[in-house]
Amino acid sequence: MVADQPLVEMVLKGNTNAFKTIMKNTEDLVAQIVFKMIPIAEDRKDIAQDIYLKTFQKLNTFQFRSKLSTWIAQIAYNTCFSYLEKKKLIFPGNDIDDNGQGEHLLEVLHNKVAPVKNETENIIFQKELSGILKSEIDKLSPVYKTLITLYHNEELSYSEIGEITSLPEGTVKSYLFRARKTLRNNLLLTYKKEAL
Amino acid sequence: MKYLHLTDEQIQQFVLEKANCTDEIIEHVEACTYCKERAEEYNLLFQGIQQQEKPVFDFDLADLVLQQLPKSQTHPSSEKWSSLLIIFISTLFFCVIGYLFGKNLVILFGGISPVFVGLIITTVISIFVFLYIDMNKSYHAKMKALNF
Repeated sequence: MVADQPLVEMVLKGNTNAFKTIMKNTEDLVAQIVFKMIPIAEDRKDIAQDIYLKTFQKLNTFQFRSKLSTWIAQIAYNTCFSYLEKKKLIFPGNDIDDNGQGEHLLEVLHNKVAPVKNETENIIFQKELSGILKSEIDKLSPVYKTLITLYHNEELSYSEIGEITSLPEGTVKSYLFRARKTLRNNLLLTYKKEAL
Repeated sequence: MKYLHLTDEQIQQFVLEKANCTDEIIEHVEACTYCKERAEEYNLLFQGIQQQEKPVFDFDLADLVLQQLPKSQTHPSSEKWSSLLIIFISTLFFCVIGYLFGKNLVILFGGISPVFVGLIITTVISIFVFLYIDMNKSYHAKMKALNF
């Protein structure tokens, strides 16, 4: 894979194929952000195009202080965030289950359901889990969904996620902790409701 | 050894960053069935997240974007030439004015005191400076609105 700097220089000299290469290299990451943050499927096409047009316009200001993919992901996150603000689709904290009310119920359920014992059961459990997990992830707020995806799927570090989202590293850690806890609690409740 | 169960945060840390956990936490998880199960639940959760299908755009994004790229950026020299042309036309205009009406201008300004001429020049320069600042501000505001 060609390094960031020569690619950027080629684009600035007018080589559009180099920009196509940049797009192909970063499309997966951008898609993850767009799909997690934009709930309306029809709007994703325009937003994805907008992200790369902004990238092209601002490419001459890229300082190589971070990876190009991180910088483009930052543009993607900010573009999606602006969209959510315009559409008033941000409801901070609506998915946080931190009041402890669910904890007691969870403990009861935890003791009622037998743990997964053998390999076959484990495979079935994984399949069921995957389906339930998808719908539970979808219920999280756009920001939490994105943080979970960037950390667990894209395997980015806390500092890289902080750079993309413009959040302090400590806040990223705290949000991720709360998102995982909410996800685990909701997942356990849904799964055990179905199992009981 | 801890007799209280571990907090959720400690369990998450145990699953994700075992190397950074204290011996106390590791020993507790190994000895406590309840916390071990919670750690296993988180483990399954993280595996489940990683196994989720990656989203893909159902259209050719590269083609769509490349069609819309502004041509000015791909041909930076055209912008440079248009600037030079404007400068040339402006210079030519002032030269023609000077050639045609030079004598009249000398007569016109010759009759006015140097202080008054200075005042006119200062006023004209000030107006140009204010106009330039205003244009610059409006340009940056428009660029900012275009960006994120």
